[in-house]
Amino acid sequence: VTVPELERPRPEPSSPTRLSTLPVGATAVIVRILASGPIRRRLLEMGFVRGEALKVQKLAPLGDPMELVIKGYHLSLRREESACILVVKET
Amino acid sequence: MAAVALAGNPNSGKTSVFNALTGARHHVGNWPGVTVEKRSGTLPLDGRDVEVVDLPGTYSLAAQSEDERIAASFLLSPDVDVIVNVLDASNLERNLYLTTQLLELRRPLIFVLNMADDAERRGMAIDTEHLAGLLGGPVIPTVANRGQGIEELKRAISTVVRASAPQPQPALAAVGPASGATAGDAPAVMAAGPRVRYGDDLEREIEKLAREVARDEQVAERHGTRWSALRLLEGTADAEELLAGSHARLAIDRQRRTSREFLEHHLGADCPTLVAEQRYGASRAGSSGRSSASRPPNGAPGPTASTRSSRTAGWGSRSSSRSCCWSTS
Repeated sequence: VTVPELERPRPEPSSPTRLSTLPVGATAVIVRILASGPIRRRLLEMGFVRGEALKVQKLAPLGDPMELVIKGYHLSLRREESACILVVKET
Repeated sequence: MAAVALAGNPNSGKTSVFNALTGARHHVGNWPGVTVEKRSGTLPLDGRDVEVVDLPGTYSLAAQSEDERIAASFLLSPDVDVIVNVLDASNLERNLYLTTQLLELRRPLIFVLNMADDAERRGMAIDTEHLAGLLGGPVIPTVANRGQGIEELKRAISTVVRASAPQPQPALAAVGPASGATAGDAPAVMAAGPRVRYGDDLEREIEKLAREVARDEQVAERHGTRWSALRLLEGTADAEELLAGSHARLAIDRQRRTSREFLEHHLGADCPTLVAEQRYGASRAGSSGRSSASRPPNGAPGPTASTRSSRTAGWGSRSSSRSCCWSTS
């Protein structure tokens, strides 16, 4: 029995995940900031705006903090901050 | 005494520039009422002394931290004759974010591309002339810790101080019945000069809110109506204070709610996000002059399709509300 082309499983378009779940070396694009108030504003100022690309550079044990590259510079985020950044992982 | 304020991100080499300008002639104290260090010194220029104040390094003027509050309020004071914006040349896009806010102050600005040697080593060629045209002020490459470019910077400061000194405060004579968004700006405010255009939708709401702000002459005079309107939309701490103390707060707050509601619904994000996006759009456009190295290092991905299109939308061109722009009026 041959499976028609259309029914063959295709890779799902990746859905938004929290930045804190990404492994080292992953690249992603920012979708939304879930935080509010001062943390939200601080993240926006640091360059976490919609459509911005970033790369996970290093992870400390237990993933906290996380070092990443955004806008060409290195930045460390605590887990409480990286958990409120919604990204789409790039393949 | 004329005063020069040094503003810039942390680690942009602001203090190296300060030391190079003032040499040993400086003292360290505290800002009134807080434990943040205040470094000020004197720079002998054309036979007289100019005071140089090294502001705390900040990424923004949003007045969230003590440092930012101090920087923002000092920069708004009429004592400042010229602001020297120290930028890390190898991290221009990041550093220009603060610049987009400094431009809103409408004060004479000089831009220092510090650590220019570092940027060069990394293969970044910055078109200083292009940048100067964009930002509307002199752009001076320096390597402050080795004294390079400091003489050029002194000359630029001297030119600006001389230009601003003999005028007998023309802004004071202009204070009268507030009429529209441009009336009643702070003293020594320049009428024209480049600044970020936040897109048609935001600009329209800023204008409406600025009209309500103009009802309060004191606020309009001290901070300028556009600056206040922008900060009210963003909801910065000092804007909230300003609003609470204003006799026109009912009218201002009503307009702010309407504007925010409209923008959030229409553009799909809250005001702090929209404003930050536009500022970063402008920063990206400003830093893209360094063509060869505009891609992030270490294999980080380049801009997505949408940001790439806003990058090429570039300067001055009036395009859709989503794309970034600079305006010269």
